[in-house]
Amino acid sequence: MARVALKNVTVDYGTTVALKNISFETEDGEFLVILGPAGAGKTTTLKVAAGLVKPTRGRVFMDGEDVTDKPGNLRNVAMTFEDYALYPTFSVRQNLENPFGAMENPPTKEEQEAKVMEVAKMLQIDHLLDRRVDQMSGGQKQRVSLARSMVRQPQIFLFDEPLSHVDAKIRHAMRAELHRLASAMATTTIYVTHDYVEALSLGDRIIVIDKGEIRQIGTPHEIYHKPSCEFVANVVGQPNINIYPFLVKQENGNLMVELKDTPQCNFSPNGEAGSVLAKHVGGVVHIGFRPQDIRYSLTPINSHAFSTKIELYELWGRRGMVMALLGEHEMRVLTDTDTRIDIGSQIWLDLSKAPLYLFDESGNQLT
Amino acid sequence: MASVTLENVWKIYNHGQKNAVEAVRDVNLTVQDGEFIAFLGPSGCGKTSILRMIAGLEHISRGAIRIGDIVVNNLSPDQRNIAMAFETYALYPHMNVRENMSFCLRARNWETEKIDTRVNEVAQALHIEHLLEKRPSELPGGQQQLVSVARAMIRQPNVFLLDEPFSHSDASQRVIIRTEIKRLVNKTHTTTILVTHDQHEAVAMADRIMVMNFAEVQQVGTAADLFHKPANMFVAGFVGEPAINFIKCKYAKTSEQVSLVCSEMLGCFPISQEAAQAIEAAGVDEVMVGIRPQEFKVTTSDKGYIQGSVSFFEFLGEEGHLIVDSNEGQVTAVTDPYLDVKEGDSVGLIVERSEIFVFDPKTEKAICHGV
Repeated sequence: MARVALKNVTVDYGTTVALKNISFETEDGEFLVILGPAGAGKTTTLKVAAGLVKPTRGRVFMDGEDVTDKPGNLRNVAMTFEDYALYPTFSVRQNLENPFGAMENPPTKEEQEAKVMEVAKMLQIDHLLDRRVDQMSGGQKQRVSLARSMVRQPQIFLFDEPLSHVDAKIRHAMRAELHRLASAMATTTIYVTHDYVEALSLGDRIIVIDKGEIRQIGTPHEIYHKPSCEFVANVVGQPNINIYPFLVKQENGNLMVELKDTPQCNFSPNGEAGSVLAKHVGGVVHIGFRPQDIRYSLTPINSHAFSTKIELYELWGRRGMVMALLGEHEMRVLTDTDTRIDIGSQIWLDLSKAPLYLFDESGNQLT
Repeated sequence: MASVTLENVWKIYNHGQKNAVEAVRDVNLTVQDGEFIAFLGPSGCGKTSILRMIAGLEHISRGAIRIGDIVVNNLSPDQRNIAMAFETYALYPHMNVRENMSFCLRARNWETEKIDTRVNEVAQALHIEHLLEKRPSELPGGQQQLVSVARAMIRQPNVFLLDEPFSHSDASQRVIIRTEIKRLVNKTHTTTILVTHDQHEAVAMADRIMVMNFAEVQQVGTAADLFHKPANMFVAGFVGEPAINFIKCKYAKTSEQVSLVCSEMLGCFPISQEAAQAIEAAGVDEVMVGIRPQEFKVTTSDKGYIQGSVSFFEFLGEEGHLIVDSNEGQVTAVTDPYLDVKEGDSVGLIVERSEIFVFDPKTEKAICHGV
């Protein structure tokens, strides 16, 4: 077990800057997820921690020791790769025994065999030990790749999109397995993914990264409920959050927000959001609504409700997704049931009860 | 616009030879005029072979395919008035998007003005106006796919065929594109067949879904039919996410009541006379009970049909997933994202009896939906 820290790390690949001044530190035994779109710099961050990429500027620490100049094989980290990086013509057993060869003081043959068996059992591949890797399915290869990173009991696990090649059904089971492994081994883990569901499910904390920069570090609840900017709000959640510009007004002593260019869509915000908005009377703020938070009705509800027509309806798993026009914007609303709703029919949306996500005009969280 | 009818359609590769492969076996289906139907199944199930037979790209080994009232078995693809968008785009690399889209209209000697109007109309609908002057090679895969769809939609075909049209787009882009296509199809009421392995796509877009596996049709129905009345264990397992819980049970009859007792878990389900009769008629002692994760409600351990302890709970934003260990088994329940449980808590799971499915474990066919 160990802590790893990156301090002000910048990585330049020639003219492109892959990472810009990244700093974070893991807790001991923590499961830290790095979440971001393709090309954000996730894998580069992992490679810096592994010692496969040397930072152009900045330092890397393990348990307080500066390891920036220490090669990867001396860092006692284990990394799995998105493309498995297994020896295709070797058996599973040979692949699993291979990492011992790179160790300075490898354990005895008996200890190696025992360790391989223990890990293979844990990942339920013990019946496949003598099979060649090129005769296995993607999901099985992924397990072998995980197993290989575990045999040498590293201080830190580094996982690069380990579930990206397994289909949805297996992915669900593999998430369950990773949960089990993580709590059984309590080894510090950095896990890279582009899938927000994996991030919310597995992470003790999540780092959201975009264009080589950290946008937010927080627990799954913080990332989902208190996004630092519109980018983060859009990264987690499906269907995507709805964000629109609103004018903040004070009318007869009441605080009101009004959709820009659509004055009939308005409501009085209250609670915590109300007191934040009160500081911005006369200005424009961006307000976000998660699709499942919007109260809706197919009959008139109350005077706050905004009446509009359903543009599109589709089944969304066991719920429905309604797309309705809010002025010139499209609003996505997630319904509670899979009862079909006719396109073209009228819907009443009450925005006043939804938790509000507030951003300024440049997209940063408003406080 | 036209209906599409498949009558006892077979596709046999290497027909009559030793290495013959039956890729499609005896498929019967009527796609109504203006209907949107999806062929859903894992790779290799035969869904694309059917699409290619409808398009005329593949010889029909046995049976007949009609478009409208006309048997098309011996018609060439261009005589069928169908339009197809391919997984692999199949765009002309030396033409820009506008030229790609208008190609078939120009080949039909449309007037330039009419062509421009139509190209702009479709491009606007699919939000690709800004790409019209670009070459395919300048676009990422997802956008090339969209251009391929746009090109297929440019003329008003009898039938519109889509072969995995979103496979190269990322998740959130896919949702946007499928919305646009759906909107365009809604407007024109063109009969549409979508081939996909992605159940979300099929459920979101299609009026009806044909589920296939191992070259055979497993079930044809609306999404609600597949969710609430799956014909067999394959359909029950393939459609729905997270996957349905299959629970091995023994049929137990005492003088007071009949029930299904879980073999590997702690729990049992009381059942009605009708369900008991159906199970007895099937002649099985052991059944497979299927319960969708969304149907479980969490309660205290003394009340549930199934008792167990919390293995872990996943907060996933819009919903929560609760994994419950019960004896040797494990079940998944979809819950409120803010469920207040921790590892090791004792819980019970209840479910509406109408949402308990019973399957014959040998034939894998449904015995009854609702107990």
